[in-house]
Amino acid sequence: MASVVETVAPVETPSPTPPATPALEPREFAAVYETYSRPVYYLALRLLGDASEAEDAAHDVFLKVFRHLGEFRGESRLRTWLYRITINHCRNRLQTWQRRHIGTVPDDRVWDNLPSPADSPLRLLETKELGQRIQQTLDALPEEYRLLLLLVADERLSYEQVAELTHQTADAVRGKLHRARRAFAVEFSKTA
Amino acid sequence: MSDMEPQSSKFRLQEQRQAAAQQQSGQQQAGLEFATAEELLRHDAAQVTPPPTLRQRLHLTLRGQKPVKRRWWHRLFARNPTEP
Repeated sequence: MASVVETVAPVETPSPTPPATPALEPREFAAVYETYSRPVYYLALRLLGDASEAEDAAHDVFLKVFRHLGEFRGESRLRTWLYRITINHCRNRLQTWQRRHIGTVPDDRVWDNLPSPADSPLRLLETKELGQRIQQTLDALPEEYRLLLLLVADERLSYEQVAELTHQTADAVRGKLHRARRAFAVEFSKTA
Repeated sequence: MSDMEPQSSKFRLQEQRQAAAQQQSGQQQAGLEFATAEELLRHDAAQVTPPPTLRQRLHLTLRGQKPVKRRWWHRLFARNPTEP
C-alpha cells in the first residue's frame, strides 16, 4: 500500500469538498478519490454523454478501485490505471445499452474532404451551453478520436501513456491526433 | 486617493473597480478562443465537478464493505500480480 501512497504523493490540487459530505475510509482511498474523482467523472461524462450515467460509472469505477487498490503494482501511474478502469467500464456500459453511435458515425475520411476551420482557432462567442456543444461534437466523432482527444486534453498524461491506454504507439497517437482535431473542429462548427 | 477621503467615497471607488473588473471578465468570457480541441476540452473539464451525491453514494456503499487486503502471494510475487 505504501507504493500507492507514494504514487499519490505528488497530488494535484484536490477539489474542494463541502464539510457536510461523509469521510471516505481508508485514508489512501480517500486521497485517491479527492485527487481523481474530477478527471474520472469528466472522462465518464464525455464518454457516456449523460450526467447520471457518468455518476453511476464513476461510482462503480471507485468501487473497483477500492477493491483492488491493494493490488495496484505501481508500474503504471495511478492515473493511467484509473483511466483504464474508467474506459473499460464505460465501454462495457455503452455496449450493454447498444443505443449510441450505431451506424451514425461517418467514415473518418469525411473530415479530410470538407473545408475546415481546423487550422484556425475554435472561437466561442457564447459560453452558455458549451457543455452541450462539446458533447454533441464528441458524439459525432468515432470512439477512437473521442477518446484520444479526451486523454490528450489531460496534460498530466504523456503521449506514451495515451498510447498505452489506446493500445497503439505514441507515433500513431501523434498521427491520429491531427485528424481527430480536424474532425472535432468541423463538427464543433456545426453546433454553433 | 488620500487617507483623508471619506469612507463612503472609498467604497464607491471600490464598487466601481469591481464593476469594471466584472465587465472585463464578462467580455473575456464572451470571446473565448481555443487553439485546439484539447484546450477547449480542458476548459470544459475545469467547469465540471462530480456531483456531491457521488461521494455520498460511495460512502454508503463502502460502509457495507471491507477493504480487500493485499494477499500474501501478491506481496511475495510482486513482479507478476494480476492487475484488474
